[in-house]
Amino acid sequence: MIKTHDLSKTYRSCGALRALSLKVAEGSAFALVGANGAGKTTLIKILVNLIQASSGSAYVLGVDSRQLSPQQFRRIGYVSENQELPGRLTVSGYLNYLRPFYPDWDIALEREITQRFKLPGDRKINELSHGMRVKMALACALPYHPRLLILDEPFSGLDPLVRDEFMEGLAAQAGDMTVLISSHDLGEVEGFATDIAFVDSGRLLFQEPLETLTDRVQQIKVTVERQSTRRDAVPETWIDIQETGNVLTFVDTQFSEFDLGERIRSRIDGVRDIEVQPMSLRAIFTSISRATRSVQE
Amino acid sequence: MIWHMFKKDLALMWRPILAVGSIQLAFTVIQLRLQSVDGSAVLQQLSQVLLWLWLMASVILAITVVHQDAVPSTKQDWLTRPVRRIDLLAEKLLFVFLMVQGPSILTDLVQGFANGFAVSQTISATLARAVVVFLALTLPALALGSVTESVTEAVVLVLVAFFGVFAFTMIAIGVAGGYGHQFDPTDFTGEGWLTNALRFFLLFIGGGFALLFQYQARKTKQTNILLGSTLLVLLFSQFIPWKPVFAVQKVLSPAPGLGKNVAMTWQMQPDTDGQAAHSQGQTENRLFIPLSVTGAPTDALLKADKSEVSISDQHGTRLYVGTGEDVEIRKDTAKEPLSYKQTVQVPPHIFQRLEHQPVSVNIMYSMTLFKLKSSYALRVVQDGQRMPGWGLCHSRINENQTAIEVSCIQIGKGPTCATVFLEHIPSGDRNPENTACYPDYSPFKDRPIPDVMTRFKLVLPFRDVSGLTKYPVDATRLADSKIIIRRYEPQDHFTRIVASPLLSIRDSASNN
Repeated sequence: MIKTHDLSKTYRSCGALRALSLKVAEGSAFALVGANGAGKTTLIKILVNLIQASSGSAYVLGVDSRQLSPQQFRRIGYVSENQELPGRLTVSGYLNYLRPFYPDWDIALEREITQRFKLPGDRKINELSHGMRVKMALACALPYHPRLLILDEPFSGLDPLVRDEFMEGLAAQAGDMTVLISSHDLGEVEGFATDIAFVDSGRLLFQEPLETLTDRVQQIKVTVERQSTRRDAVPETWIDIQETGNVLTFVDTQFSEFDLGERIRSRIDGVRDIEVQPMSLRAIFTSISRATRSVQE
Repeated sequence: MIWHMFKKDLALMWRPILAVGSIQLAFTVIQLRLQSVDGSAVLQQLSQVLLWLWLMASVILAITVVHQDAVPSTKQDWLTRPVRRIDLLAEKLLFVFLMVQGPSILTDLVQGFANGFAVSQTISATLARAVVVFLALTLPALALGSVTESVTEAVVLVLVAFFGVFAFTMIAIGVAGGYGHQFDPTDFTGEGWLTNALRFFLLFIGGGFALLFQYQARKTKQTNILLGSTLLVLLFSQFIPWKPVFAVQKVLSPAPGLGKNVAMTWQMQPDTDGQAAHSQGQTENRLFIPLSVTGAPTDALLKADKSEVSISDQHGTRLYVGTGEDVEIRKDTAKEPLSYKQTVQVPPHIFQRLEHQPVSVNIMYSMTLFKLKSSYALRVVQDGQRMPGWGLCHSRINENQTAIEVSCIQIGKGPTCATVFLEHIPSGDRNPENTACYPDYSPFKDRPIPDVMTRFKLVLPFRDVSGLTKYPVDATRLADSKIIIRRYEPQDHFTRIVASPLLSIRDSASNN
């Protein structure tokens, strides 16, 4: 559905994207996660041809993103936190305007969505609150049953109630639609995404199904006999190592239960206890980001 | 989808469109009122204010129409919609043409029809004006709108361009040697339309290509460079050389060869021994060059579009190069040769160098031969006399009972060269003739500013309140008199060179 290869974008001398290669499978709910300024919006803007990459390639629906035509845009929905809708049109005025552009526009669905989101048809768009405007943008992106829905930081500035309404509305219509959603807040996508990609400083740290990620990345808590025991060089897959008294914690990014104790004891003396703790997506993201930055520094 | 997008823009923009249309309507009403209310200064000023207001409002409106679906933005919703960009561009062009220019097109048509001009004449003049306004005003405004996201940004860009042009002009003036230097040799000549046509062509190419490129590729930086380059080429167009422009005009002559027998020579004058006369002032010195003209057909008028003067010493070294003043020679009878004194202004410091040595004067004339095209006779007091090729005129005696005033209107470009006089029909006596030539050799019917109508007034005095001047056709003979208008049309363009023998300007001073 989406494929990028060595995608780079440079603004003056600053690299916003650095050789980013990504693949979004059809039917997936793909979360693009990264801190503010990581390059998520840049990537999405390249995907929908709002800006052009400095190098590399991006394909959306099998078409070079620079060549996206109305034919493809009829199957792409795009919602962004800072999308500018024609503010002087009313809600129904804009929906009326959009309808003829989409042969598959579903009026019943449009009505259902506007009712669900309680969008006032006679209100001008620039008189809507930020939350209502984001819902309006989603209401304009769903009625034509897009094959691909791209959501760029849709939850920014939304209160939890609106966010939940938004997600409920989205989940109700998702079906076999492919969804690419970017966010800096993992909590927002945790219950929704099937796949996840971490972007940091324009680089893709990894992408994989959410399920394998939470299995693969675990926090290990090792209790030793006494403080400052001997430790051999730790593997690169152990990150975010912290020592508090005689307790050592780290994140194993290639966790496997097989021979876990022996592998740890071969590197650390006096191991008294080993405890494996599953990590939340937020904790995984924080640990990986921290580790990446310390390597870069 | 073009019509669908058009309706959306109309729903968003109908209020400003109505406002700009109202300005246009008010302007037209005042113009019509000015036709009947003679010389109302207040109305004249109001019409000027409204004209400028309309121009600025139209530009801002055109820019705002484009901004409804801003192009350089990365936030506009339409960019990720199945909107064909070429359709959107077509919609904007259509919208601006119909909704921004539309009211002025409509009022032009109404004025033409209301004044009884022929349908074809009215439509062609209206369309010609609409095209000129589109190229000079609308297209640049659209192009500006396509590279900006807000009116403020557009205004900033206009200011940057304005100061750029200002700086360029200042530098050019500095390089050329000070104020008063005329860059465009076609300014105030009948050939000026060729330079303007070139500029319109540049605007069409530059503006049109910028719009196409920006809408298709959305590369604002490159489009700005393209627009900046167009502006630069437009600026340099004022340095267009005269000779190729005149050569083109020659090719376009309606009757080429009509002036082939016209000869212009230095007139040997026995009383001044063939010398040039001069008058000396503190800031300028004038040379009077005696000319003899033969070979012009009868009922013709010769006008120099440009006279390039060079003064050389006896060794042929050029001491001064400049331009002569207007030359206008009328030939009503078969009598030949015709004499004329060409005036040449020479700066004092040059004159001081010239007066102490023998010099020769060479003048290269770029001439236009006008031929009498039609004559009209108009009663002294008459309403609504329609004269084909001239316009619709009303004549009356002024309030002071000293002159006949003739007010005329013509749709599109009006007459450019004519002789007018009062003639007593029974005796054939005439008052002094009044010749006015403001040539424009353009083949187009356009009259871009302020509207499609050309309004002009002729004043023919018949009484001098001081009593110093006696007119052959005075108040007592007006009842049997008519206003005669003789309209001339340019027929041929050619060059002639006049060379003087070696002469001393200083010696000739005593003869002046």
